[in-house]
Amino acid sequence: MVNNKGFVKILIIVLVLSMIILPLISAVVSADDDNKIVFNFLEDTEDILEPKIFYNKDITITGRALENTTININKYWYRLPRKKSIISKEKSQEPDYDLGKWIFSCGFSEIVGASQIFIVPVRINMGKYKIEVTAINNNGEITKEIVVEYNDKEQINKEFRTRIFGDLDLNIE
Amino acid sequence: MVILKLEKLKTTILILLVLVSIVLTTRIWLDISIEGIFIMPKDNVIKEEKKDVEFDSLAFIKPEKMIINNNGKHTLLFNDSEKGALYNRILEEGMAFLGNLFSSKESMSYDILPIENLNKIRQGSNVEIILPFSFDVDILASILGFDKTDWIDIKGVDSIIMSFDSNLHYILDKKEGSLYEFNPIDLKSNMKFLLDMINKFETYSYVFLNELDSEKFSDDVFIPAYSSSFKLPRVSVTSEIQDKDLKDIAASFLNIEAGSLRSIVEPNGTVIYSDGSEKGMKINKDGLIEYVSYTSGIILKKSILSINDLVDIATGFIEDHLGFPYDTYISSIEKTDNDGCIIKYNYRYEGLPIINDNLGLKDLVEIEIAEGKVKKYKRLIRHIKETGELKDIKNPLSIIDILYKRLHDKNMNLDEIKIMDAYLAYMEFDTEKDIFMLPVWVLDVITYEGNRGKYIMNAETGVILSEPY
Repeated sequence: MVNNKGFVKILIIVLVLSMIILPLISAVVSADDDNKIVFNFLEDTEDILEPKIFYNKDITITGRALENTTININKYWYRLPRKKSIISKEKSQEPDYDLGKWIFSCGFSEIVGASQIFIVPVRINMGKYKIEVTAINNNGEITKEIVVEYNDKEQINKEFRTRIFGDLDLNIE
Repeated sequence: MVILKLEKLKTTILILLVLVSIVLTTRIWLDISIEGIFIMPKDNVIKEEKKDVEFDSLAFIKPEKMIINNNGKHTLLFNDSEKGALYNRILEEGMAFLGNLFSSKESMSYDILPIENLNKIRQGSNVEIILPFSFDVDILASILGFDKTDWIDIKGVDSIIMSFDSNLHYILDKKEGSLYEFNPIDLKSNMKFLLDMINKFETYSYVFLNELDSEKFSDDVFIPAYSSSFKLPRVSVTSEIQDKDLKDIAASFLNIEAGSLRSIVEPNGTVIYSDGSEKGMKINKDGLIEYVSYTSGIILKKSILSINDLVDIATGFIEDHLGFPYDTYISSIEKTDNDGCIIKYNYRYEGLPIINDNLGLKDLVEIEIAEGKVKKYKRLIRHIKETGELKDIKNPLSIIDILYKRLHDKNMNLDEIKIMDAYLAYMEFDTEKDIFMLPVWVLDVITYEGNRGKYIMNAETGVILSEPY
């Protein structure tokens, strides 16, 4: 009898939590973000742009620069820090983790035409990436960069659903 | 003992209620179908209503562009052999929405947003069906089978936008500069399912150039970002009259025996046929067919001659006289006197429009109806086949650079030029013996003085094939 009541209470708690948490999750997950990163070399803007999160693997590097400017785009992926072995930990007494590293992934080069526009598609996967764009012309060289991250929207949805409903045991005896 | 059983029963009922609540709230908030438990029915009231609509006319309402906006990624969907089925499913959803809209104004709540909201909406998850011309709302309603519509505030339907992750629908009215937002609660769409199908295909990212420079590009300039070379099939074409007896075609049009036809052959090879009284036609050796009828039709009551009736008359006549090529769409409808209209059609190959620049024929099928009868009919249709060879297509930004260089050479001020549209097409190119079709880039350009025209470039080489000024 007590068990039943306890179980009912748990179910009600789950229901209430789902009513509060799910809309919040939904609101966060559905936050839209353009898949385009604009680098404007015609105006004086920040060299390091605010990091962005994308729900799409295909992002587009685009922007504006003077005609005949060479645009070099380099993509780096962030290698997560590796855990040190127990032996090294015992010996050196250093922290458990090294700092991660930016590893060069690939590069693209374009020369801007009379439209003063450049467009380059770039694909990212799970994890962090750094996009570095350098504009070179007779006036000199300017480099701008941004850190981007891809999140799988469906995966986030699934994970939340599993966390909330996954442990729900419906085998009532 | 009885009390214990009663408690167990109550607990079971409560558990069931909780489970139903969880399923329903999950469905509402996350908008995800749960297979086997909760699946939205595919068929609904609106679709049943649509069965009554004259689908023949409806089949020719096709978009100029179908843009998929997917969490910031934009792409174009073509009616090609790979994604054609999906394209047509989305189009059906769009027509179902319009059917729902026109069925009653009272039951539909809506907001009117400024047109500036379009860019923000394009950042969401939705499909944008841009129509080939701004449809008058009464014409569109008529084609959908409604005698009249109460939506007189909407002056023209330029595009329809349908969300993938909500029930929000929009109509863009450029004439009024308004964006109508609807939330038709009665309309159960399959858009989420269709988005899943789209995501299974590899698609190019597209960029709206007006987001980078709104002075030089209109909001219709939408170009792909290629990471590798992009290719299109090379095609060979033949005239639809090739290997056909012209007399048989003429007899069918003039509705008499082939032996009773009167004909004259002009020096350029054009053959003119007549039935000797009220109908005539000429067949150009390039394949252009023109028909004219001087008969007066039965004067029908005004109420009978809806646009839908006129489109039906045109459809029936064209079907009986050489038929429609695959992927035909209505490119314009102009009302004329005598309760008539001129309907123009075009067609596409693998989703790309066909252009014929040689004969200056903008629309490849044109029919004029007056007094319930076909007065004039003109067509130039090709049978298209792929050769198996693929052509490299130049990046659209390179094409824009070629245009700017050309305009610069003509001493035109580039700051006074605006590109209104940019798209790929197949353009017919005739020689003495053969007919070719080349993939081309078309740039629709307007000057600040209002001179508008199309620059057509060979998509493989960038050579300018046609220029308006």
